[in-house]
Amino acid sequence: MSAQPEYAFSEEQFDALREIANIGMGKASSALADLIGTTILINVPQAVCVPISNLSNILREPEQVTAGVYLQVTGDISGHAVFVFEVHSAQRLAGMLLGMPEAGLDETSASVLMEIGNIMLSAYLTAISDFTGLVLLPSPPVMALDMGCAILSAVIANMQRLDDFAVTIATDIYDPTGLISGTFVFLPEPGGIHRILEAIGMV
Amino acid sequence: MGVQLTVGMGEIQVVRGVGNVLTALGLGSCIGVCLYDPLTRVAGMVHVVLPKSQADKTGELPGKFADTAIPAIVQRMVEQGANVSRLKAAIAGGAQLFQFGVSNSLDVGARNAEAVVAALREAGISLQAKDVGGNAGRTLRLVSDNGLVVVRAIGGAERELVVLGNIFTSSGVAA
Repeated sequence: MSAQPEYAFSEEQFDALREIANIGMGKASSALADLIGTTILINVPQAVCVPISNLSNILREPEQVTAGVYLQVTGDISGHAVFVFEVHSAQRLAGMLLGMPEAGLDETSASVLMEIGNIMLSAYLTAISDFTGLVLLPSPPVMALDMGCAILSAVIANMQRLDDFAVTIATDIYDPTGLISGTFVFLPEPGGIHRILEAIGMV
Repeated sequence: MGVQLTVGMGEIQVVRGVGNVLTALGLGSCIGVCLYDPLTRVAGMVHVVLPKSQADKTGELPGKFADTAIPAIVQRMVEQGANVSRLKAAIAGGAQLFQFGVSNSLDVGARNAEAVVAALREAGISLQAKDVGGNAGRTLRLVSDNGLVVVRAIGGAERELVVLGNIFTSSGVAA
Protein backbone atom coordinates (compact mmCIF):
# COMPACT_ATOMS: atom_id res chain seq x y z
CA MET A 1 0.00 0.00 0.00
CA SER A 2 1.17 3.49 -0.78
CA ALA A 3 2.95 5.38 1.93
CA GLN A 4 1.59 8.65 0.59
CA PRO A 5 0.33 10.77 3.49
CA GLU A 6 -3.40 11.45 3.48
CA TYR A 7 -3.06 15.18 3.42
CA ALA A 8 -1.42 14.86 0.02
CA PHE A 9 -4.80 14.20 -1.59
CA SER A 10 -5.73 16.72 -4.24
CA GLU A 11 -8.85 18.85 -4.32
CA GLU A 12 -10.10 16.77 -7.29
CA GLN A 13 -9.73 13.62 -5.22
CA PHE A 14 -11.64 15.20 -2.34
CA ASP A 15 -14.36 16.21 -4.82
CA ALA A 16 -14.60 12.61 -5.94
CA LEU A 17 -14.90 11.41 -2.32
CA ARG A 18 -17.64 13.98 -1.71
CA GLU A 19 -19.50 12.79 -4.78
CA ILE A 20 -19.35 9.18 -3.65
CA ALA A 21 -20.52 10.21 -0.19
CA ASN A 22 -23.38 12.10 -1.82
CA ILE A 23 -24.54 8.94 -3.53
CA GLY A 24 -24.30 6.97 -0.30
CA MET A 25 -26.10 9.66 1.72
CA GLY A 26 -28.88 9.80 -0.87
CA LYS A 27 -29.58 6.13 -0.26
CA ALA A 28 -29.19 6.42 3.51
CA SER A 29 -31.55 9.37 3.79
CA SER A 30 -34.21 7.76 1.61
CA ALA A 31 -33.94 4.62 3.76
CA LEU A 32 -34.66 6.78 6.79
CA ALA A 33 -37.47 8.63 5.00
CA ASP A 34 -39.14 5.31 4.08
CA LEU A 35 -38.87 4.18 7.67
CA ILE A 36 -40.50 7.20 9.28
CA GLY A 37 -42.59 8.54 6.39
CA THR A 38 -41.21 12.06 6.23
CA THR A 39 -38.85 13.93 3.93
CA ILE A 40 -35.19 13.90 4.92
CA LEU A 41 -32.76 16.46 3.51
CA ILE A 42 -29.01 16.19 3.38
CA ASN A 43 -26.33 18.83 3.14
CA VAL A 44 -23.54 18.40 0.63
CA PRO A 45 -21.00 16.08 2.27
CA GLN A 46 -17.81 17.73 3.47
CA ALA A 47 -14.69 15.68 2.78
CA VAL A 48 -11.78 17.12 4.69
CA CYS A 49 -8.43 16.10 6.09
CA VAL A 50 -8.23 17.05 9.75
CA PRO A 51 -5.74 16.46 12.53
CA ILE A 52 -7.12 13.69 14.73
CA SER A 53 -6.79 16.02 17.73
CA ASN A 54 -9.38 18.34 16.16
CA LEU A 55 -11.72 15.69 14.86
CA SER A 56 -14.59 16.60 17.16
CA ASN A 57 -14.68 20.04 15.48
CA ILE A 58 -16.59 18.44 12.63
CA LEU A 59 -19.57 18.26 15.00
CA ARG A 60 -21.51 21.48 15.28
CA GLU A 61 -22.06 21.07 19.01
CA PRO A 62 -19.39 18.72 20.40
CA GLU A 63 -20.59 18.76 24.00
CA GLN A 64 -24.24 18.20 23.23
CA VAL A 65 -25.81 14.94 24.34
CA THR A 66 -26.12 12.69 21.32
CA ALA A 67 -26.96 9.15 20.39
CA GLY A 68 -24.22 7.52 18.34
CA VAL A 69 -24.42 4.35 16.27
CA TYR A 70 -21.06 3.04 15.18
CA LEU A 71 -19.88 0.21 13.00
CA GLN A 72 -16.64 -0.87 11.45
CA VAL A 73 -16.19 -1.57 7.77
CA THR A 74 -13.94 -4.29 6.40
CA GLY A 75 -13.47 -5.76 2.93
CA ASP A 76 -11.92 -3.95 -0.03
CA ILE A 77 -12.38 -0.70 1.85
CA SER A 78 -11.80 -0.55 5.57
CA GLY A 79 -13.06 2.25 7.69
CA HIS A 80 -15.43 3.44 10.37
CA ALA A 81 -18.92 4.84 10.07
CA VAL A 82 -20.73 6.75 12.79
CA PHE A 83 -24.18 8.28 12.83
CA VAL A 84 -24.68 10.79 15.63
CA PHE A 85 -28.01 12.42 16.27
CA GLU A 86 -28.97 14.99 18.83
CA VAL A 87 -30.74 13.41 21.80
CA HIS A 88 -34.19 14.97 21.24
CA SER A 89 -34.03 13.89 17.60
CA ALA A 90 -33.19 10.42 18.82
CA GLN A 91 -36.18 10.42 21.16
CA ARG A 92 -38.53 11.65 18.43
CA LEU A 93 -37.16 9.16 15.92
CA ALA A 94 -37.60 6.27 18.31
CA GLY A 95 -41.05 7.63 19.20
CA MET A 96 -42.13 7.67 15.55
CA LEU A 97 -41.34 4.01 15.20
CA LEU A 98 -42.77 3.05 18.56
CA GLY A 99 -45.96 5.05 17.96
CA MET A 100 -45.55 7.75 20.62
CA PRO A 101 -44.60 11.43 20.46
CA GLU A 102 -41.25 11.12 22.17
CA ALA A 103 -39.72 7.92 23.43
CA GLY A 104 -37.74 7.67 26.64
CA LEU A 105 -34.17 6.50 26.44
CA ASP A 106 -34.55 2.96 27.61
CA GLU A 107 -33.40 -0.36 26.18
CA THR A 108 -36.31 -0.49 23.74
CA SER A 109 -35.62 2.87 22.13
CA ALA A 110 -31.91 2.13 22.18
CA SER A 111 -32.45 -0.97 20.10
CA VAL A 112 -34.77 0.94 17.77
CA LEU A 113 -32.16 3.68 17.31
CA MET A 114 -29.43 1.14 16.75
CA GLU A 115 -31.54 -0.46 14.04
CA ILE A 116 -32.21 2.93 12.39
CA GLY A 117 -28.49 3.67 12.40
CA ASN A 118 -27.78 0.21 11.07
CA ILE A 119 -30.27 0.56 8.19
CA MET A 120 -28.85 3.96 7.20
CA LEU A 121 -25.22 2.93 7.49
CA SER A 122 -25.92 -0.23 5.48
CA ALA A 123 -27.75 1.71 2.77
CA TYR A 124 -24.78 4.06 2.56
CA LEU A 125 -22.26 1.24 2.29
CA THR A 126 -24.34 -0.68 -0.26
CA ALA A 127 -24.57 2.43 -2.45
CA ILE A 128 -20.81 2.93 -2.35
CA SER A 129 -20.30 -0.76 -3.04
CA ASP A 130 -22.64 -0.65 -6.07
CA PHE A 131 -20.94 2.46 -7.40
CA THR A 132 -17.35 1.36 -7.00
CA GLY A 133 -17.69 -2.41 -7.39
CA LEU A 134 -15.78 -2.82 -4.10
CA VAL A 135 -16.81 -5.11 -1.27
CA LEU A 136 -17.73 -3.35 1.99
CA LEU A 137 -18.64 -5.49 4.98
CA PRO A 138 -20.28 -3.83 7.99
CA SER A 139 -19.70 -5.15 11.51
CA PRO A 140 -22.69 -5.37 13.87
CA PRO A 141 -23.45 -1.86 15.14
CA VAL A 142 -22.86 -0.64 18.67
CA MET A 143 -24.50 2.34 20.29
CA ALA A 144 -23.66 4.99 22.85
CA LEU A 145 -25.47 7.89 24.41
CA ASP A 146 -23.04 10.64 25.37
CA MET A 147 -21.41 13.91 24.36
CA GLY A 148 -20.84 13.90 20.61
CA CYS A 149 -17.13 14.51 20.99
CA ALA A 150 -16.80 11.69 23.53
CA ILE A 151 -18.45 9.31 21.07
CA LEU A 152 -16.09 10.36 18.28
CA SER A 153 -13.06 10.06 20.54
CA ALA A 154 -14.10 6.53 21.56
CA VAL A 155 -14.29 5.65 17.87
CA ILE A 156 -10.86 7.13 17.21
CA ALA A 157 -9.36 5.23 20.13
CA ASN A 158 -10.84 2.09 18.65
CA MET A 159 -9.30 2.92 15.27
CA GLN A 160 -5.80 2.81 16.79
CA ARG A 161 -4.68 5.13 14.04
CA LEU A 162 -0.98 5.34 13.41
CA ASP A 163 -1.05 8.70 11.68
CA ASP A 164 -2.05 12.10 12.99
CA PHE A 165 -4.44 13.06 10.22
CA ALA A 166 -7.72 11.52 9.15
CA VAL A 167 -9.87 12.02 6.10
CA THR A 168 -13.45 12.44 7.21
CA ILE A 169 -16.58 12.70 5.19
CA ALA A 170 -19.33 14.28 7.26
CA THR A 171 -22.88 15.06 6.21
CA ASP A 172 -25.63 16.79 8.14
CA ILE A 173 -29.13 15.40 7.72
CA TYR A 174 -32.40 17.00 8.84
CA ASP A 175 -36.09 17.01 8.16
CA PRO A 176 -37.80 20.26 7.09
CA THR A 177 -39.93 20.45 10.25
CA GLY A 178 -36.74 20.71 12.27
CA LEU A 179 -37.62 17.71 14.39
CA ILE A 180 -34.74 15.51 13.35
CA SER A 181 -31.12 16.41 12.81
CA GLY A 182 -27.95 14.43 12.87
CA THR A 183 -24.49 14.04 11.41
CA PHE A 184 -23.19 11.12 9.47
CA VAL A 185 -19.43 10.57 9.58
CA PHE A 186 -17.41 8.18 7.46
CA LEU A 187 -13.73 7.70 8.34
CA PRO A 188 -12.05 5.51 5.74
CA GLU A 189 -8.66 4.06 6.61
CA PRO A 190 -5.89 5.44 4.35
CA GLY A 191 -5.71 2.20 2.34
CA GLY A 192 -9.48 2.31 1.94
CA ILE A 193 -9.37 5.78 0.46
CA HIS A 194 -6.83 4.65 -2.09
CA ARG A 195 -9.04 1.73 -3.03
CA ILE A 196 -12.01 4.06 -3.56
CA LEU A 197 -9.98 6.46 -5.66
CA GLU A 198 -8.46 3.61 -7.66
CA ALA A 199 -11.87 2.10 -8.33
CA ILE A 200 -13.08 5.31 -9.94
CA GLY A 201 -9.85 6.02 -11.80
CA MET A 202 -8.73 8.94 -9.65
CA VAL A 203 -5.28 7.67 -8.69
CA MET B 1 -3.09 37.57 30.94
CA GLY B 2 -4.63 34.18 31.55
CA VAL B 3 -5.44 31.85 28.70
CA GLN B 4 -8.17 29.28 28.15
CA LEU B 5 -6.90 26.34 26.14
CA THR B 6 -8.66 23.28 24.83
CA VAL B 7 -6.58 20.14 24.87
CA GLY B 8 -7.49 18.08 21.80
CA MET B 9 -6.92 14.37 21.37
CA GLY B 10 -3.23 13.56 21.64
CA GLU B 11 -2.33 17.16 22.54
CA ILE B 12 -0.18 18.45 25.38
CA GLN B 13 -0.72 21.95 26.79
CA VAL B 14 1.50 23.52 29.42
CA VAL B 15 0.97 26.97 30.95
CA ARG B 16 2.60 28.92 33.75
CA GLY B 17 1.13 31.44 36.17
CA VAL B 18 -2.35 32.37 37.33
CA GLY B 19 -5.57 32.85 35.37
CA ASN B 20 -5.11 29.92 32.99
CA VAL B 21 -7.63 27.16 32.42
CA LEU B 22 -6.97 23.95 30.52
CA THR B 23 -9.93 21.91 29.28
CA ALA B 24 -10.37 18.50 27.70
CA LEU B 25 -13.86 18.20 26.23
CA GLY B 26 -15.77 14.95 26.14
CA LEU B 27 -13.24 12.40 27.27
CA GLY B 28 -14.68 9.04 26.30
CA SER B 29 -12.25 6.16 26.47
CA CYS B 30 -9.45 8.74 26.44
CA ILE B 31 -7.78 9.87 29.67
CA GLY B 32 -7.17 13.47 30.61
CA VAL B 33 -4.07 13.80 32.80
CA CYS B 34 -3.64 16.96 34.89
CA LEU B 35 -0.21 17.78 36.31
CA TYR B 36 0.51 20.69 38.60
CA ASP B 37 3.50 22.22 40.36
CA PRO B 38 2.09 24.24 43.29
CA LEU B 39 5.22 26.35 43.76
CA THR B 40 5.78 27.66 40.24
CA ARG B 41 2.13 27.26 39.18
CA VAL B 42 3.11 25.38 36.08
CA ALA B 43 0.02 23.47 34.96
CA GLY B 44 -0.15 20.86 32.25
CA MET B 45 -2.76 18.65 30.67
CA VAL B 46 -2.44 15.83 28.16
CA HIS B 47 -5.28 14.05 26.36
CA VAL B 48 -4.17 10.41 26.07
CA VAL B 49 -5.91 8.33 23.40
CA LEU B 50 -4.25 4.90 23.52
CA PRO B 51 -2.21 2.89 26.03
CA LYS B 52 0.93 2.10 24.10
CA SER B 53 2.95 3.68 21.30
CA GLN B 54 4.18 1.80 18.26
CA ALA B 55 7.92 1.56 18.71
CA ASP B 56 8.67 1.59 14.98
CA LYS B 57 6.71 4.73 14.31
CA THR B 58 8.14 8.24 14.42
CA GLY B 59 6.55 11.61 13.97
CA GLU B 60 3.55 10.71 16.12
CA LEU B 61 2.12 13.08 18.64
CA PRO B 62 3.74 11.83 21.87
CA GLY B 63 0.62 12.90 23.76
CA LYS B 64 -1.47 10.23 22.08
CA PHE B 65 -0.03 7.31 24.00
CA ALA B 66 0.18 6.81 27.78
CA ASP B 67 3.76 5.55 27.70
CA THR B 68 5.10 8.51 25.71
CA ALA B 69 2.67 11.18 26.95
CA ILE B 70 3.80 11.30 30.56
CA PRO B 71 7.56 11.71 29.88
CA ALA B 72 6.76 14.29 27.18
CA ILE B 73 4.51 16.46 29.35
CA VAL B 74 6.91 16.24 32.29
CA GLN B 75 9.73 17.47 30.05
CA ARG B 76 7.59 20.36 28.78
CA MET B 77 6.71 21.33 32.36
CA VAL B 78 10.32 21.18 33.51
CA GLU B 79 11.22 23.50 30.62
CA GLN B 80 8.68 25.94 32.08
CA GLY B 81 10.32 25.78 35.49
CA ALA B 82 8.46 22.94 37.21
CA ASN B 83 10.25 20.48 39.44
CA VAL B 84 9.40 16.79 38.95
CA SER B 85 9.46 16.08 42.68
CA ARG B 86 6.74 18.68 43.27
CA LEU B 87 4.40 17.50 40.50
CA LYS B 88 1.01 16.19 41.51
CA ALA B 89 -1.42 14.45 39.21
CA ALA B 90 -5.12 13.85 38.77
CA ILE B 91 -6.72 11.84 35.99
CA ALA B 92 -10.21 11.38 34.54
CA GLY B 93 -11.77 9.47 31.66
CA GLY B 94 -11.34 5.89 30.52
CA ALA B 95 -15.04 5.17 30.19
CA GLN B 96 -16.61 2.50 28.06
CA LEU B 97 -19.16 4.43 26.05
CA PHE B 98 -20.63 1.82 23.80
CA GLN B 99 -23.13 -0.05 25.94
CA PHE B 100 -25.19 -1.93 23.43
CA GLY B 101 -23.79 -4.79 21.40
CA VAL B 102 -20.33 -3.91 22.60
CA SER B 103 -17.27 -5.97 21.77
CA ASN B 104 -14.28 -6.30 24.08
CA SER B 105 -12.00 -4.54 21.66
CA LEU B 106 -13.88 -1.33 22.40
CA ASP B 107 -12.91 -1.27 26.06
CA VAL B 108 -9.80 0.78 25.44
CA GLY B 109 -10.78 2.92 28.42
CA ALA B 110 -9.77 0.47 31.11
CA ARG B 111 -6.46 -0.27 29.39
CA ASN B 112 -5.81 3.46 29.02
CA ALA B 113 -6.38 4.03 32.74
CA GLU B 114 -4.01 1.21 33.71
CA ALA B 115 -1.32 2.46 31.34
CA VAL B 116 -1.56 6.07 32.57
CA VAL B 117 -1.36 5.04 36.23
CA ALA B 118 1.69 2.89 35.45
CA ALA B 119 3.39 5.69 33.51
CA LEU B 120 2.82 8.17 36.38
CA ARG B 121 4.25 5.70 38.86
CA GLU B 122 7.27 5.16 36.63
CA ALA B 123 7.83 8.91 36.47
CA GLY B 124 7.59 9.10 40.26
CA ILE B 125 4.57 11.41 40.23
CA SER B 126 2.01 11.23 43.00
CA LEU B 127 -1.52 10.53 41.77
CA GLN B 128 -3.82 12.55 44.02
CA ALA B 129 -7.22 11.73 42.58
CA LYS B 130 -8.84 9.82 39.78
CA ASP B 131 -12.27 9.57 38.22
CA VAL B 132 -12.02 6.77 35.69
CA GLY B 133 -14.13 3.97 34.24
CA GLY B 134 -17.89 3.78 34.11
CA ASN B 135 -19.74 4.47 30.90
CA ALA B 136 -20.20 8.23 30.70
CA GLY B 137 -18.03 10.78 28.91
CA ARG B 138 -16.42 13.53 30.98
CA THR B 139 -15.19 17.06 30.52
CA LEU B 140 -12.09 17.85 32.58
CA ARG B 141 -10.82 21.28 33.62
CA LEU B 142 -7.62 22.37 35.39
CA VAL B 143 -7.31 25.86 36.88
CA SER B 144 -3.74 27.12 37.11
CA ASP B 145 -4.23 29.39 40.15
CA ASN B 146 -4.38 26.56 42.66
CA GLY B 147 -4.48 23.32 40.67
CA LEU B 148 -8.23 22.94 41.03
CA VAL B 149 -9.45 19.99 38.98
CA VAL B 150 -13.14 19.78 38.08
CA VAL B 151 -15.00 17.06 36.21
CA ARG B 152 -18.36 17.22 34.53
CA ALA B 153 -20.09 14.04 33.39
CA ILE B 154 -22.72 14.11 30.72
CA GLY B 155 -25.95 15.71 31.89
CA GLY B 156 -24.42 16.47 35.29
CA ALA B 157 -23.00 19.47 37.09
CA GLU B 158 -19.30 20.24 37.45
CA ARG B 159 -17.83 18.77 40.60
CA GLU B 160 -14.50 19.27 42.26
CA LEU B 161 -12.21 16.28 41.98
CA VAL B 162 -9.19 17.64 43.86
CA VAL B 163 -7.12 20.77 44.44
CA LEU B 164 -3.60 19.82 43.41
CA GLY B 165 -2.15 22.98 44.92
CA ASN B 166 -3.45 22.18 48.38
CA ILE B 167 -0.43 21.29 50.51
CA PHE B 168 -2.63 19.17 52.77
CA THR B 169 -3.45 16.72 49.98
CA SER B 170 -0.34 14.67 49.81
CA SER B 171 -1.29 11.08 50.43
CA GLY B 172 -2.18 10.12 46.87
CA VAL B 173 -4.79 7.58 45.87
CA ALA B 174 -4.32 3.84 45.80
CA ALA B 175 -3.58 2.85 42.24
